[in-house]
Amino acid sequence: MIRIPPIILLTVIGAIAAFSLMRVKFSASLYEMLPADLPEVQGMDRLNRYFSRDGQLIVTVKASDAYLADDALESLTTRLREENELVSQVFRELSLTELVTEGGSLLSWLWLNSPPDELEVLLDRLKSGSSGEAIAGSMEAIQSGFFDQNVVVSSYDPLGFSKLGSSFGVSGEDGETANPDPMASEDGTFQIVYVEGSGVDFSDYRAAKVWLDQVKVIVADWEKDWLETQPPGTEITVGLTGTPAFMAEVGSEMERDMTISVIATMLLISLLFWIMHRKTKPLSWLVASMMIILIITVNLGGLLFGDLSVMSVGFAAILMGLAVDYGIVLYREAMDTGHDAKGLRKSVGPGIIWAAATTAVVFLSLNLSSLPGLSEMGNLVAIGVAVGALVMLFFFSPVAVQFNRNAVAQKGIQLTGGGVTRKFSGWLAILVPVVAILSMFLREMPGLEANFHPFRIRESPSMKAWQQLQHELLGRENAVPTIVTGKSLEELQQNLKKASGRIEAAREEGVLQGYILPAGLIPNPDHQQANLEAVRKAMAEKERLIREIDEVGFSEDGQELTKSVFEAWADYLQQLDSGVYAKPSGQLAEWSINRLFSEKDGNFAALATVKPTDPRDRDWVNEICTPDTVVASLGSLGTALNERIGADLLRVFVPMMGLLTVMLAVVYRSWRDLVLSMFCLVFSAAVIVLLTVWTPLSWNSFNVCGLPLLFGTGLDFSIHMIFALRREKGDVAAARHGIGKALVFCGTSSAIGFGSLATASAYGLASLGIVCAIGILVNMVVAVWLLPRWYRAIYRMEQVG
Amino acid sequence: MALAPKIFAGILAISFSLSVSGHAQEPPVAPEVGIEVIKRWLGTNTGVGSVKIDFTQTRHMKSLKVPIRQDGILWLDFSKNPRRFRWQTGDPAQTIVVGGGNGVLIIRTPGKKFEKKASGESAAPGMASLAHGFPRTLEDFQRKYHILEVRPHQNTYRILARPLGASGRGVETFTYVVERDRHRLLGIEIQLKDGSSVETVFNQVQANVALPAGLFSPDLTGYKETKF
Repeated sequence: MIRIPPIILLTVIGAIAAFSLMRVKFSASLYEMLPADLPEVQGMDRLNRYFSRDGQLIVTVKASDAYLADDALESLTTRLREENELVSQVFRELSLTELVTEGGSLLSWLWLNSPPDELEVLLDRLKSGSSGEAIAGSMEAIQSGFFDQNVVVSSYDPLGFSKLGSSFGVSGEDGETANPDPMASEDGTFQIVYVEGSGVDFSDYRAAKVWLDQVKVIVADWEKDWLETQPPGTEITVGLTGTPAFMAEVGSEMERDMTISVIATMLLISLLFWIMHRKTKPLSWLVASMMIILIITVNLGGLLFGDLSVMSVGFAAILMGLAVDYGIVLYREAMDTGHDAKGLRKSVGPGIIWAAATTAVVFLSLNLSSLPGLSEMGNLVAIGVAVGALVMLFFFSPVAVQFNRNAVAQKGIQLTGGGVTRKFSGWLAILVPVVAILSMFLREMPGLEANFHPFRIRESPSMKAWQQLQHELLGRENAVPTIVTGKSLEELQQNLKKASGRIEAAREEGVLQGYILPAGLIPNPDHQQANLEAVRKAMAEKERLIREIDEVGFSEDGQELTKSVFEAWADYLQQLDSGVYAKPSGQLAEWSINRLFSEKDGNFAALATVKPTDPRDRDWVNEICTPDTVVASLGSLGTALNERIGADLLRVFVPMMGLLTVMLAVVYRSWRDLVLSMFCLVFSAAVIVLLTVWTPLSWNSFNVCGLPLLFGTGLDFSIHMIFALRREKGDVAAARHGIGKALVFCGTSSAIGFGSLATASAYGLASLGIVCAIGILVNMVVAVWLLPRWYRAIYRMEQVG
Repeated sequence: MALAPKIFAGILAISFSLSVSGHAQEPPVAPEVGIEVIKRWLGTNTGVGSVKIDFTQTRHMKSLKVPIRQDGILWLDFSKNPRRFRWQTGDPAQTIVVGGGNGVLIIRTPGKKFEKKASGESAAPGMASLAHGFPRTLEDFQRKYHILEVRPHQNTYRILARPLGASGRGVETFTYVVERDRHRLLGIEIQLKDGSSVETVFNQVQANVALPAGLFSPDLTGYKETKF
């Protein structure tokens, strides 16, 4: 078997590994890796489920003045509308003329759906005798010559259909929340257009990416052409955001992360092996074994978990860093003892199995975390280390034996004391914890960042465009989507009413600045049925009303909106004859209502907006949220996660420490060893605290979950070293030569595995990788270079050794 | 500097036509010349604390069968911050609009009704936007308008501009008609996006006029508040 040329071996297995990785499907939904019981996470889930349109891209344009923005967006819209194969619809802010031609069906539906007493006010206005006064009033306003928006609208709406009742959008204090322009900033320099994609399955992020790349090319070509028509120096910024942009970006970034971290880990571990053993053939088989482990684990993971989350991307690199250790143990044992494969398995097999089992248990303990994303990663690594142990024992061990059969035992590199004297280590043992404590009190206490960015993709163009959109559009900043659901329309209306009460109370208390509850825009079968007859009667007055408008002097254009309202009523009444409620028809009406109301899988949802006074606070969340009313609030989510993770740590970490202390006491049967082992953990923790206080290293709700892993490796390393020192009767050089070298390799390879995640796109994953890599290296240095000195110090007092 | 009222008397309406149809158009001037024209026009406002403009307005509304022609008066008071204005049409006044920092008061005298609108509630295209904030400096003008061209026409310059931001919604272009020699504003044409247009000819412009007490706070006795 080992006669297979390494290049062929690596090519074949590498190709299979690449194929397996390519088949991995990632879930681009970030909320899936968060605690599902939080109202903020439920809010994100429901917002996505009911109101997100997979194929709806938002194109943003920012220019130096409103004219340029308007001109650019007009030109871009025209260009995108020509791309029939990629784009089914482009929706931008309607002109007044378009509003007149399109708005009739929306107004008609809104009146049909309104409370009967509000409709009555309109119908009174339409009655013979009253209608003339309304029409004359509109004409008087036009004749005044002082045009504001209302007068311009009145010129097309002499009967005042657009003067809607109070039920259409209930709002709080500030005008911004009450009447935001959904398509343009106040100064007009920032404008957006909605692009409905076509031709691909947008639920597949790879297809979405292909589509998005094509759109990007079109937009880039358009920008170049458009700028050529403008004066030199003209600049615009075009952004692409919305669901397809997020999906494509997150999915492709995850693929890139996994590929880079796996390749980087393989290369660095290979380099480490080469430095320590200077042999290429066993190295190629070791790499092949790691790839086989990856292939099996990836396929098992796909079978068990389906799509992997952004946080699970890191599992492969971590697994490589851990699994290689088993191969190294086998290789060194074969080199030192000359066992055959069976003998090798007999001698180190139990150790490897137990090591894999304990590592798997530590990673499985992540299931106790509230973060499903982290649990999934823990499960994948746990499966991987079990697979790794088996592959190394049964696939790599014969190879290790073959390569060492005729080999002359190599001297390899020697570990020295690194200048760490007993005195120096003693001072360090005192100084580091003391300085850490002082730093905490004098500078800052390490704490969790209270924001959501650990779960976001770094340097994300679509996220930047989205943030700019939130910032520029009036009233959007800090506005939180609030989703109210019901199993029926009646239940939805009831829940909306209850939510309205809670939200208004929260506003009165001052925890909310304002809100928009689109009660009038949600289909209300009761209202529609109650209004049926009244609308039918009003329709009988159509011809008279049109005649009156005509006689006063309104042109065909001035009559168009009125006519379209009556035509739409006729359509809605037909719908009511055959169904429970009438749905809005026409492009504008459908688009407007579907942004705020959704019916999916027999459930109904309404989208409201609240504006919290302090978005990071959770009081307002607790006040307004119920199982049927949830908020997609990223601000309070950071706080919620910190609260949850803090509780997790107390719930998991403290009992785990107690249990392990008892276990260590049983294992060591020596209080000195127990104290030493625990002190190593305290010392490593002090180093991490110092790094946190004095360097940019910080903790967030994701990387803090790496603490149990660091705790586990710290204990592991100290146990190995203390037992070696016991065996060698306190001979530091001998212990370092044996177990020390193994710990250096294991620690470095694990740190490489975690460290390769530093370039990951997700902040959380990258910070987890950095924290764990640093922590493992600290544990390794403490165990290999400081612990032996402390061991001698603590025992020398009793003349041991 | 003497601030004695200067009266720009004279009937200007007959000296020009706002419409360019039927005449061969001259090419627009170079952008830097156009800027100079605008500067000079705005410079005519230097030292002006108040203005009274008698105007004739003709509105060609797409939604109406026939155009509307009406006379009116616009008072602008630059001496107060925020600026105040009073707009009225008809003789006697049929519609009075008074504005300042706190919003806009609209009075319709025939029905003895009035409406108060908060500031910003009436994002105003057309003449109303002028009343809210007549540009006084080039920077002010450029902040509010995108200059498209400045074109000489007979004895005038026609400054074609597009309003920026919320106040420009619904408006395609503004054309300021400025006297060619003395750079005084003679009238304004507004082209709305729906195809409607409003032409306003300034019949008489008086600068630094005395502003009668109560001009900007009309008596509402006997008037009923409503929502037009």
